Amino acid sequence: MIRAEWTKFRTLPGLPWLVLLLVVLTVGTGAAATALVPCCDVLPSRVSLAGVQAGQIAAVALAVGMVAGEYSTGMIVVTLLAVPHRGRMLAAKALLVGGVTLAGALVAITTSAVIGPGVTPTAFVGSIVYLVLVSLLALGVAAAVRDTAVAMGVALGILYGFPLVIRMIQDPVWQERLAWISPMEAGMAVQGGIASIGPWAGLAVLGVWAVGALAVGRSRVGGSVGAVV
Amino acid sequence: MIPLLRSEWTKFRTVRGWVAGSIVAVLLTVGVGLLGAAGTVRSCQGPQGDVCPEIPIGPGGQAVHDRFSFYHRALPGDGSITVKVADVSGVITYPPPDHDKIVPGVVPWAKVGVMVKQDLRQGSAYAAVMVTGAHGTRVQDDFVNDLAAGGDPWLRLTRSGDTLKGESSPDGTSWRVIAERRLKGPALIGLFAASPCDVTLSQGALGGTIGACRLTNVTGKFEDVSVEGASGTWTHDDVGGEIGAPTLSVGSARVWGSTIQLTGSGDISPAGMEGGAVVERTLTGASIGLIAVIVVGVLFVTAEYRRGLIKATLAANPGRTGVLLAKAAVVATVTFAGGLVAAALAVPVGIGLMRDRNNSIAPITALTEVRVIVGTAALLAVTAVLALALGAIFRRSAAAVIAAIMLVLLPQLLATASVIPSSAAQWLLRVTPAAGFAIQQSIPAYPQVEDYYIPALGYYPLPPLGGFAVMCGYAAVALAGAIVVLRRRDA
Repeated sequence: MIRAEWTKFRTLPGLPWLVLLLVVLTVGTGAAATALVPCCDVLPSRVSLAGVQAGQIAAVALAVGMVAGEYSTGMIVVTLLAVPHRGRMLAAKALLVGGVTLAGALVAITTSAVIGPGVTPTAFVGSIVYLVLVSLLALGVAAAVRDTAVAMGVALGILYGFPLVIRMIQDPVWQERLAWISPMEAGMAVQGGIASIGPWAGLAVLGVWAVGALAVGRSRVGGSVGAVV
Repeated sequence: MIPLLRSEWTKFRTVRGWVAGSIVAVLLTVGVGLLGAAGTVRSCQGPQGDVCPEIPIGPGGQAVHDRFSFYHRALPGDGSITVKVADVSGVITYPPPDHDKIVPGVVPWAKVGVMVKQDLRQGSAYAAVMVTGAHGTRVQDDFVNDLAAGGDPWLRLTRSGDTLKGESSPDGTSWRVIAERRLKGPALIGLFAASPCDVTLSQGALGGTIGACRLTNVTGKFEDVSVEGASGTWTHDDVGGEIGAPTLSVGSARVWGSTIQLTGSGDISPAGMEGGAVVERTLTGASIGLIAVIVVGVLFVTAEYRRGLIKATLAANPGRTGVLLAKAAVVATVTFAGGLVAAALAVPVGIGLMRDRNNSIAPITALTEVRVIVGTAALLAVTAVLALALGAIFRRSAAAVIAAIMLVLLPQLLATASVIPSSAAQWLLRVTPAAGFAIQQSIPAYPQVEDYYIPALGYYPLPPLGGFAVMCGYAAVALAGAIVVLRRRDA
């Protein structure tokens, strides 16, 4: 089953390119931040891994492409005929998307760490896990809404919406409340600097979002294929 | 063109998802904006409990800082004051790098000089000729107007009738008129000294910029002070002075013969973003609503490709430019209308919410408020056109949505919520379509006020219409590119 998903991923135009985009965006933005930020004022991990904020777009696109892409071409019918069990099909996709993102993130984060001013082990491992969880969150969203553009909008809205709003309100109490429920803001705490949340609790917030999205996706996936195709 | 428009409008209106997407954009814009407004809470601990001080309003309607040391006499009618600024010195508390000493020094915008002011009320009209710490001799009036005038030490203000004349001179004999202003009625004439706090910016550990502002004061030594036409005795007042203020910020005057030494702190300037909560805070939702707008804009084209409808569309209207322009017109109009409703709703309701939370609202002119509201709607509409064009270029939803979000939203995010230093953030907001957000900025940056003019605090590097023009440029280029590829390619 995973082999089938792998073949689809490998042969679809675009999807392998998204892994490259993930690496390029992450490393490029990180390198730019490294070049721009004056030494030693800012947490080194945050600077080296600044590219994660941009690279996650590719992780989202990858996951969305794997699911919503099938709905748009009608391929989902074939997939579901071959694997009638919806949960197993989603699990196979999750494994594949997670695995591919893991591979891409490993390359991207390692390169960024080498280029940048330094990375703590927590930030290194955490940022890779972060990208994988983001891809799973997007996979769940895509399974739930089944349309490429809408899924990307929803997933990126969930990710980018909170930090934008947090920066624009100025009450620290509200900022912290929102940071606690924001997958991106809390998740990025693995890179240090947010003492009130802490690295692993922050990743857990993102994990809850990912699990929640996958659960919603599981309940909706393949529900009424006929209406979609 | 009309039938094209009608057919595109019919398509838009009958596809449930597109209408729903447009409604979601409105709801997100209003909802998130009001959330931001509700999260703007101000509390002021003072002797009277949680009562915030009133922010003075200048003659031009702006919120202003008006706190300085004023040594003055009454000026019932015509008159003049002439002085020579012999020396400017001052004190800066705890400057970088170690922030551990109080040192002598004068901040760049410390000012000492002569002033005619309507009365002692904060925010009343004035005109002044002054010597500044590092910006030479200047004429300023009514808080927002500022004129550079070389570096002469002799200053003079003359009133005849309703006209005030500001002059400077290198030697006290040959005078040069710098500016003329109008100021009617009985007024006060005298010497003033003000020294704004020392602004330093540092990088926060999470990136972004942390500003600090530390108390300073300035002492001006005026020689050969001569006043004509004034009545009453010399009096010293700290305009806007507070009981229990730090000793260094309390002004004083010492007199021997025609020499006067005046010490003061504070500033006479527009208050900028410190003048209260800004209107655009109620419109933060627009950047989230933007995502829904992008999705609708992209789908309006890509869905046709996915379902093959584009063949029917192009068979019916072989003029491909017209089809794309009609689509752009429809999606822009719908988004603009939705954005206008959203902004016109979010601003008054949001202002009410912020007022309930003890905020004073930074006053702006009605024209500015209209610009912010209509500008937000236009921002959404232009983004929709950009997304539509990208959809036509890529023909695939995923690529178009990625491109649009990377162009419009990512720069805004990196500029305000990342480690990138503010100089780089300003460049991002100059050269990307995100520059268009400048149209939401209601309070301008004033060159004569030292402040943190950085994107993270809501100051965009380009003027409102300039930034919006950058965004329109991107949309126009993308639309032109889309027309070119649509004409070249098979459907």
